[in-house]
Amino acid sequence: MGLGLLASKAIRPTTRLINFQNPNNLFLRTIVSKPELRNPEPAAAQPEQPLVDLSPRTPVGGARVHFPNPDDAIEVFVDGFPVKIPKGFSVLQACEVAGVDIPRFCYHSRLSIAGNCRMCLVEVEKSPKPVASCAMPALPGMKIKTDTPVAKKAREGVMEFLLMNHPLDCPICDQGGECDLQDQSMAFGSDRGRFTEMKRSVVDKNLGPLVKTVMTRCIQCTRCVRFASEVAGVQDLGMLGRGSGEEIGTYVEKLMTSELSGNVIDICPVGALTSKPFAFKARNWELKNTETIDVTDAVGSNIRIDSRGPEVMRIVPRLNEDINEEWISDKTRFCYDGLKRQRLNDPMIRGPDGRFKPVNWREALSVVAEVAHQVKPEEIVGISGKLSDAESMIVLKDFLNRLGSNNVWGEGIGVNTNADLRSGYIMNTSIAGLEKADAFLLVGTQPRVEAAMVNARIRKTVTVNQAKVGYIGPATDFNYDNQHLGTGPQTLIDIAEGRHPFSKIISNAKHPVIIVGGGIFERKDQDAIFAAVETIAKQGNVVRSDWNGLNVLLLHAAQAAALDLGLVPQSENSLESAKFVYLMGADDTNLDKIPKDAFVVYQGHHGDKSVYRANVILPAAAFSEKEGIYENTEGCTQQTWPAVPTVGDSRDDWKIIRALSEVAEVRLPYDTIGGVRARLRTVAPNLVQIDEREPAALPSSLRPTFTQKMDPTPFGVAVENFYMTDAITRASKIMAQCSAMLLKK
Amino acid sequence: MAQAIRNAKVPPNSVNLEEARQRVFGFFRIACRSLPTVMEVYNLYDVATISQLRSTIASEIRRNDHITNPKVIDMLLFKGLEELKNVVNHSKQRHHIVGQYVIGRRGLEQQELASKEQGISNFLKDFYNSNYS
Amino acid sequence: MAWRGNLSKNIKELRFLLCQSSPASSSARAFIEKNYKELKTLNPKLPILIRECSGVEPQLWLRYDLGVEKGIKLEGMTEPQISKLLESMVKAAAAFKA
Repeated sequence: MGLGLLASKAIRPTTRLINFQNPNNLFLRTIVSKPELRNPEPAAAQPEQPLVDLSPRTPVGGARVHFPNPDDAIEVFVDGFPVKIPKGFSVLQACEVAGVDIPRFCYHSRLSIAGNCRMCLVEVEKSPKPVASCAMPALPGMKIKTDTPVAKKAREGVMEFLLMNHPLDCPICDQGGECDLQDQSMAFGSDRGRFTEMKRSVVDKNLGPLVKTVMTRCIQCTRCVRFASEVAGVQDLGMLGRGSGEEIGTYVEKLMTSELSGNVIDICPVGALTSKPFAFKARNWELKNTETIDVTDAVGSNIRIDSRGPEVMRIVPRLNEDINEEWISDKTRFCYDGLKRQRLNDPMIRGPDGRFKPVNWREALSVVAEVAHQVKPEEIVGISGKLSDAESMIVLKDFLNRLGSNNVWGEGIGVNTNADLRSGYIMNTSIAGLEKADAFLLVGTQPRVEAAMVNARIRKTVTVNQAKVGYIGPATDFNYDNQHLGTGPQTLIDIAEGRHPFSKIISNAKHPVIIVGGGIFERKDQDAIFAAVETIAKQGNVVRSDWNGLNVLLLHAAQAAALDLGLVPQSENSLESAKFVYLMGADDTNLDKIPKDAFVVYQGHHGDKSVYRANVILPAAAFSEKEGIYENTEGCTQQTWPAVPTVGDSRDDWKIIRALSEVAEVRLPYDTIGGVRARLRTVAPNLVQIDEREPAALPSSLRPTFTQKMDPTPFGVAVENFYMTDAITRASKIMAQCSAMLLKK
Repeated sequence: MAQAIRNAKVPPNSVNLEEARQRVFGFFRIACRSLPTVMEVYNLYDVATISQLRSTIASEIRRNDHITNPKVIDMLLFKGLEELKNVVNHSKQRHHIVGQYVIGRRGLEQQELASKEQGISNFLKDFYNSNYS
Repeated sequence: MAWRGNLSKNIKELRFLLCQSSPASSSARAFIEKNYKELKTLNPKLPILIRECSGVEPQLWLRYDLGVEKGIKLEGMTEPQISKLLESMVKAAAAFKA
């Protein structure tokens, strides 16, 4: 009907008399005409060629197109716009390069192609039916049309089918607001449905304490199945049944124990797989996003913290091609509820009866300064923790140096550690560079629990390049094929001397990689082990000008920065003879070594282990509340941003030490974080280049060889419980549930 | 007396500085006349004397003695009269009066001088105050 | 070269900041490649930190007791000049202590 009737009413002569005289006039319909209809031109007007906007287009999402052979580029036409693409691209990828985003459910750029959702159908000239663009390879000269009525009708049809059996759960579904189905049905679906029968429902599966499943909402796109088998390496999930009775499940009652299992939550386009701890907590539009860095392990995965007010609601990964692609480990994803428990919020001093009494900052700092002046400089010891940022570590080192003490070191760094040459303690092949390797030798490291993202990268390389992996250490399970070569340093010596068959594999490989675990730093004979590894590297030509395959996989987020700043213990027994111990977040040191009459100051954010021995507690900020520089295991410097305000009366770490230095009359020369960073630039300038990775040019073979006896004890396990490694994860309830249910016994 | 205070209004239309000055004196007179009522209402007999409170009011007025714009003086008088009305009508409580007028500004300065010795830097002052200076 | 063994007496930490590839730091790089092993063997407990970062000017920093630090720019110096400089700093530190 439209406005024609209204228009005709307006045109009619408006006198009430007409209506009065003849009521039938109300139903008279005047004729409305339009200019095009009046022109008596032949009706067969040519469908004009729609004007094509030939200005350069940016690919979808700001992606960069990589041409492996530039002479092999093909040209196709997307909606009349010519694009150049590399040879193996699919039609969907060609449209992405042209800036046209095609709707899809089952296709994911990092997983294999399934082609079962049919939402990506586009029309291709000279093809009898629309083609699934995700699966069809783009041929030269193809004319692809994405906005024709055929394509639009196909999308509406697919949408209608998908919504037929989909439950009306939007108000109670956690994915509402960020649901692919919602967004695509608004953009591409039709406005009404025609389904009047009963919808089917599916029984829910129990996948563990992390992933909540409502299988009725599943649209059977199989993204989770492909992720689990390809990226995570576990064959847990599969599709059972056929037709409308298809169900995704584990067939046997099995929990998803993989450390990457939380990523299926991001991957699932609908609300079938959601985060169990985050269930019903918040909607995504009320959350504030802060882009920061994760500190639970040394990888430094890029995350986005979603917070509502003063509370962190969830942690979601950010894209970073070089470090963590689009995935994060379960520990990173679910440790946030540890940030709300066991927090220190007031400075406290232990009274003579052994109980803590909350005091204000003035008193606490004056007490600490007083004691610091009463002890001799050699008896002062400082230990920085696993989660400390670079600014606080340099301020601690400066402060203790000014008091005359030389004993400052980072947790986990043993006595003989050589922090001189950077190539001796970072991952020289960057994490992204691991993809080129074709032989791996893992010495005393279990990457699956130490750095889950590095393990995912190694798995990717093993699958694509058929790389060989040799592992020396205690028996653990891997999610890729490997050879267990031995358990102790004896195997290393065998390989170094060429007696072991694996040494041939290393010499024949074009890009061999040796990864030494960070647990080696705790051993007394670390120099001997590194010397053996250097010999293997020399024989296998692992370190060359264009490829440096000698890597160290560090264990904590603060270790790389601590080694960069030179926080190495200078003498063996400084802790046993200390009278004043400053623990900055150090929860994993051996507290028995501290003498009973030593005065211990603990500065940290959680009441973990070291708090019980402390005499004074100074509350500090956690990683989600401060702006701090962290360096990951490959040497890439990144920065955290504060997502939530600090808890109670706590302050930033470096501010506490700067205030303490002023009260103790050894005032440090900087007042602002810019000043601290300027000081950082004079110590380790790579720590100020945020988001940059500085490769270490001078090889670690420059190190002098000390003839040290190699200790024959086999390599130990650095991380016993993947879910509980530092103060935040130990305080987290979700991590406790995971370690109770998901660890392999 | 309280009736007079309630009825008093400051018309915002002083023509020149001289008229504004006269209004200030009028305000001061009104305030001093209301002081006995204030002492009675808030029971300040042990804490302060009328002459102490009178000099506090005078010092508050003198704090603004550098202002020359009659309109601004009118506005300040308006605020002052509003404050006076609140005090007389018992809208405030004893601790407000004691803190604002008996101890007053001088007391705060003395406290600061005493405890922190004034030898500390701005950084430390802000640090003790809060994390986000 | 007896002064090389006396480094760790008064100096607590030695730091070389240089660029990986720029020509200004080439003499510093050469100095380290030739002398690091010897210096470290004679002073095993002294931290000699070598920090490379692109675009940074070559510098030498010495840390003495009580947090006092001295930084010297090495731009334009040749390798024997750097060696001489280090020697003079060591001797100056020893003289100061004495």
